[in-house]
Amino acid sequence: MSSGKDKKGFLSSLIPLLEASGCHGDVLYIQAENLAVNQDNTSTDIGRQSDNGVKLRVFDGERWHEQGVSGWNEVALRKAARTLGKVKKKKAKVKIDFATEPLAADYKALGKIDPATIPLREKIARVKELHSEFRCDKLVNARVYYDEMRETKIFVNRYRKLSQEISGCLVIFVGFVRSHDGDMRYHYKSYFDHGWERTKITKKALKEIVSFAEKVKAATKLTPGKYTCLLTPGMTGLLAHESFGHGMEADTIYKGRAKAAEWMGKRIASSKVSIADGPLMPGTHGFFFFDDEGYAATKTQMVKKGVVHLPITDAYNAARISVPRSSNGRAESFDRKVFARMTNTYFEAGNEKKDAMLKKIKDGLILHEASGGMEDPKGWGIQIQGVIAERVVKGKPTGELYYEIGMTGYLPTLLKNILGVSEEFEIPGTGRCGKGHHDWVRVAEGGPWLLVKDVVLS
Amino acid sequence: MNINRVLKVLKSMKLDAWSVLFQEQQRSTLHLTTKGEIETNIDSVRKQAEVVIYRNFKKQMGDAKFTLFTDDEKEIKRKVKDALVICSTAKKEAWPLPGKQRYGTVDTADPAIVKAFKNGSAEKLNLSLWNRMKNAVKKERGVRMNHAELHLTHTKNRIANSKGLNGRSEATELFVEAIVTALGKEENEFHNVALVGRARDFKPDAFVKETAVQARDVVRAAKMTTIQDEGILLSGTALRDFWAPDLTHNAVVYHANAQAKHRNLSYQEPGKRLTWNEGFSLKSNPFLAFNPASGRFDNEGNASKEVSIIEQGVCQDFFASQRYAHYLKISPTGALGAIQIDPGTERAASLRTKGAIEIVSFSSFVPNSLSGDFSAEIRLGYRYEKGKRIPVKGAMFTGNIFKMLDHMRLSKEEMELARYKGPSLIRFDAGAHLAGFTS
Repeated sequence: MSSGKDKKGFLSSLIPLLEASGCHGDVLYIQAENLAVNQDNTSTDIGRQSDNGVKLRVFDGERWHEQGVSGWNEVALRKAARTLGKVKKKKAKVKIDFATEPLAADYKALGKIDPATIPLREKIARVKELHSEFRCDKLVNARVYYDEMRETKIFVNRYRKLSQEISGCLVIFVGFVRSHDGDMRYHYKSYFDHGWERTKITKKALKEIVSFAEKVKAATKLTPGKYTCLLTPGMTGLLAHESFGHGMEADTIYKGRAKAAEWMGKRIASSKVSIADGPLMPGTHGFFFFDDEGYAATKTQMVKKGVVHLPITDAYNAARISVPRSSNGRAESFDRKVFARMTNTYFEAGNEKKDAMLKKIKDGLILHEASGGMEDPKGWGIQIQGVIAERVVKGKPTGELYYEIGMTGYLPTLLKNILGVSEEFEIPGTGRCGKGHHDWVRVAEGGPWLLVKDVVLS
Repeated sequence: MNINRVLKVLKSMKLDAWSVLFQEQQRSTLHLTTKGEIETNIDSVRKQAEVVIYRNFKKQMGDAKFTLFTDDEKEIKRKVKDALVICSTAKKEAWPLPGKQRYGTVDTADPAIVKAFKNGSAEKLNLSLWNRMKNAVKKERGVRMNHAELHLTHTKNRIANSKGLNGRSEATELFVEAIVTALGKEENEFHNVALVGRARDFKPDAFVKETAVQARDVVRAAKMTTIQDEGILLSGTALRDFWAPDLTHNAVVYHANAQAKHRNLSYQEPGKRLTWNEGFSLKSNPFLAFNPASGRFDNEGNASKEVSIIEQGVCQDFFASQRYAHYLKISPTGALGAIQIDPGTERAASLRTKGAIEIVSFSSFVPNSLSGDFSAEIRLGYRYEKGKRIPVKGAMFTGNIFKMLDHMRLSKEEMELARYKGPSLIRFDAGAHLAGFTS
């Protein structure tokens, strides 16, 4: 088995084979390891999963040709490289910016306490300890889920030899409750950071999860209508990601699928509103140093003080729509395509206090969280489901919750209805994003608290 | 990776028990961009093994899973050693491993796709299907195809365990995704997906035509501005997604999972009446020929079986893995198959009454499997008014499936799609509502 350095050397040796007929070639090695410890009231379930393989690509001037080889098999890799090396170079119809500045670097993000330094037994014991602190009679079942990832990527092309090793510790608490009607419901909270230090979670925090789950138990259905709402950072982020971000993906724009194309350079919201995307935010679920096309991490300003500014891109589609490249070329695995994908997507912070914004609500809601959403880049429709909301009267939360709400509407209208943007800021997202229902990558979303009028809920 | 080498190493380690699922998957994908240009073609081979190690502790047992991409003995032994540590920290009530068994027969591998991969012509097959789609688009007025993807896969599975179990299966799939934009005062797009096990079951012309018609209807669809509690119909992919969603289970199916029962999360009780609607019977069927949900065995090697979940409104059986079958003292049921619902007695035409709204497509349908609640935006629906079918869009469909079953009517006509076989039209008259808004 080759070491990391040997691997980089071997992968580099494939480049001349890939480029034998004059095309541009690159290679991406992926090793993703995952440890999952799942503890609930009935059992402990532990497993490891991994993904391992190499993506080889050549660009012939018009399109990409790719081969994916699982595991590490030098014979198979040379064979794949020679096969791709026969692809004939064509006239450059698509002029990709291949970022020709040489760059050789090895990056790591392993947290303050590298999880690899913690013995397995200690990890399992900690999860069990968290579970015993979390479980209680108020919950029908209590689940603690610890997911530890270690992702190693090596990217080489003619100009670049890069490697990154990123770890992640994700802890999720799920409290199951039975409603007064007998329905089973749940509430969850997740925590993420690169290192083992993330498993330090206070008893107070666990009590708050249980307390909220009890409120979910009593939650009722909301009367459909338009409401003044205070969105938590998690909800703000979901809005940025689902309702805006997908429509700023360069491939969506190139394919004539994005309403955002009509709005480039135009005002979509007040100058209080800025929206950005970028992977280089340590401790976030969408973090990395370079994307799957070897492009160093950059921040993309998608909306700048209310004006639609720049899309997020992969190399091919940046060339197609003639915009600067960004570090958003990402693939689910070695055998899936690189697409323009979000990383950490967020509204930028404002300068108001969240509590002051809350006091402005005479009769409205706090939108706490949602189970997910779906993109509508063509229509800019908002489609967020599974929202949990809390009634606010005269500036005070009442503790009365509403469950399984759908949030809809038209994005430009909602953005114009933003009344306030808080200075408090967080990126709490810990989920995965699909293009539709496939090609999953880890992402995060967040931002400030937003006060918005006339939010459409049902 | 050599399967026999992996098995030899495991056997040499004198473990209490083990199980291995080998998978070799060939894949060829074509990604098309606007104007029918190819952006990327990918050919890949994935060979991996999912290994489970078991360790006995008197009446308890520990289990631990890991993935292998190599048959290197040192690497296998390293992972097994780690797994044994996990086993000792994750002890639970023991259960027996499945032994040798007979498997049912179901066609899941299309000879044409298998041959294409063997001959190195899978990309050509994708291209020929794409060319037919392109030609079909040219025949449609007022639309263009912005995006398409074609994914061909050929998967070979082999399951083996320390009790001598040995099973093999082979499956093929063709997944096609297309987005068509219809031109009009305001452009609107429609997203359509086909998933079949056999290449000839994908009809490019019909698929493109359906997508184009629906894209044009989305353009002329009026946004719903009212609230409606009865006369809600589901058909097509909306109906399939309701009963067999992509990312999760429908709550009726989730509660029939033996694991959920063991975890005290399920309402299902055999013999308990779930609904007074005696016309409602639902089962899991893993034996539908070339349905992507079909399979001979699950990932433990248990033979797949048809499982009756609801019979005439009454709860029947659970579907169960080996472990949870043992805990609930029932038989394991193998892989969950397609959701099959018995057809009704009424003609679809009689369910389409004046004022009814028929939803044909959701933007995304991801229900809450635990509570049965859902909320989903209607991508396209039709209102029936004065003998006409008027397209509508944009309303939210929300409700709780358990509250809808009593008021459900099923069509006599049937359809089959990936993961579903059953009535082609279902009507609900309570338990859910459609809420539209002006924005």
